[in-house]
Amino acid sequence: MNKLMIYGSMGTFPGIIALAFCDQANLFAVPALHRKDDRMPQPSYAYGVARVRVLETKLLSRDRIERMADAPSAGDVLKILAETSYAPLVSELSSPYDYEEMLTREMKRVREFIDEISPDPDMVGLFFLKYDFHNLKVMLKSMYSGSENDALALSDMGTVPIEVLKAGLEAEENKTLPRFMGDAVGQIKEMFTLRIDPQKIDIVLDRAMYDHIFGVCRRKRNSFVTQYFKKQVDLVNLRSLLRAKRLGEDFEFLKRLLIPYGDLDIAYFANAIDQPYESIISTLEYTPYGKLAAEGIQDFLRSGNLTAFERLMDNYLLEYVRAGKHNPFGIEAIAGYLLGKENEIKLIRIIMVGKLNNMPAERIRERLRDVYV
Amino acid sequence: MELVHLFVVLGDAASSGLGLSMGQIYAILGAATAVALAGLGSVFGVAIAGESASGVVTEDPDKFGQVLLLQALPGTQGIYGLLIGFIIMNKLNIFGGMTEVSQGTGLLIFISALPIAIVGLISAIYQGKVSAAAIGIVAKRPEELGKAITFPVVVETYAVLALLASFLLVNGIPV
Repeated sequence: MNKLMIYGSMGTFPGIIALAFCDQANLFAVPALHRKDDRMPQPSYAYGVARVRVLETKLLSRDRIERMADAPSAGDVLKILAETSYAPLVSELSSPYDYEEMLTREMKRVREFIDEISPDPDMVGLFFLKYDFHNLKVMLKSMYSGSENDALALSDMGTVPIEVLKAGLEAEENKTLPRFMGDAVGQIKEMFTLRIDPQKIDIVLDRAMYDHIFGVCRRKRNSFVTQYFKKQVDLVNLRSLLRAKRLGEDFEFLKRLLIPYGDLDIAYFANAIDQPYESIISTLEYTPYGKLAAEGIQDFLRSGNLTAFERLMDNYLLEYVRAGKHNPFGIEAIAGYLLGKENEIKLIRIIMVGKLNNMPAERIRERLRDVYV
Repeated sequence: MELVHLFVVLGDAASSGLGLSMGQIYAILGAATAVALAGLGSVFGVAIAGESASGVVTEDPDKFGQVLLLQALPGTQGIYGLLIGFIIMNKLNIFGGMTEVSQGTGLLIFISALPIAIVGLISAIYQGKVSAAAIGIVAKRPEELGKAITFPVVVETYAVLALLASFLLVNGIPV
């Protein structure tokens, strides 16, 4: 034994202890590989969550939303908005009729902000996939119906830029699109060589989106995100159930619309499709969706449309995210901020549309959803 | 295993003429462990809290003073470790020719350093996490700084208790 060996062993001892705790302290999180830009990925959620905490205080409060709903005109709504974090955007607005442009820009800012603070773009990207698939649906539908007027309906909030989506759709081989999107598009193209059926577009694309989402969830093992999408799938399936029942369809029809992965399994829906609405409500009573189903289905029976059910769906998911947002080291707060902001934009849109069309304040209030703070 | 191996190597070294007795080597190892482990804990702790603090300051630079206070809290364990390390070094008279220490006494000094080393390491990491959460409070409600500080300070209690134990133990060993 010589001196060199002594020094060597002395070095390894604290080294091993240090390594054992590195994982715990989450200091050496592997930076994600797929980033669209050269921004430095954040090493952990702590930084991003802290930024979100500050920005949460700038979300519009319920008071302010109500003041906006009561404002006499669209111009007055903008005046109230000018007192908030929207001030710079409002000052650039030439007329209240351009409010949509302001909202698009705000949403884009939120998108960039979330990209910047997220240590795991794959995971947070799941929350933006709905925009990609919305774009794909719009493009495919206009492709097969021959109309070209789709630019307004497209959203640049997705994970893949619109130009890339367009190029990917037009090319014979979908090399530019992410694999799971390319495969779904290929499947639709192949199906449509025989018979064009625009309904199929939604079915195939929705399925592809959730296949991908749950693939990522399995890989990342994040229970919050997995639960979120499970709940979303359950609610989407319940909505499909109500639609199928309204059309008087049987389970064969419903089966094609159902998305697996939810907590309510296919057997539940096979059973529910033949039951009266009252017993659907009572079978759901002791599930997490009890209250939602009772209110939503009753409103559906009264009004014949699913608007209220969809509003309850959104609120339910918001409530779920809200319950988890106190975790300082997870995606919860970031996802919560994103959903809160999406909700806020929807509220402003409802108010602006109402005011520009001289809708009375009570009607506007009716349509407002709960605010997220 | 690593620890046992280390002691075997140290024993060999002592007998093969490194100029130190086994007791002295144990005692120095105690001082080094206290400083290193408690220090490492503080490094992790202030790093976690620091990330949160940077997030808040990015959006609201005026909160710098408040979040800095919270970030610094997990840094105390490192100081406690150094304190114990320093007391041991002083006991050994390391700066003015080493005092002779028997093997048994050396081992006792090493063991005395363990409370602050182990508790310092782990409490600083957890305190860092609590501080990061508390920084979230300050981000949303700056007026509640007092309450925000309370939570990390509760974790601090146990680091202080470990410091006290190590201090009494080291002091109580006659050299």
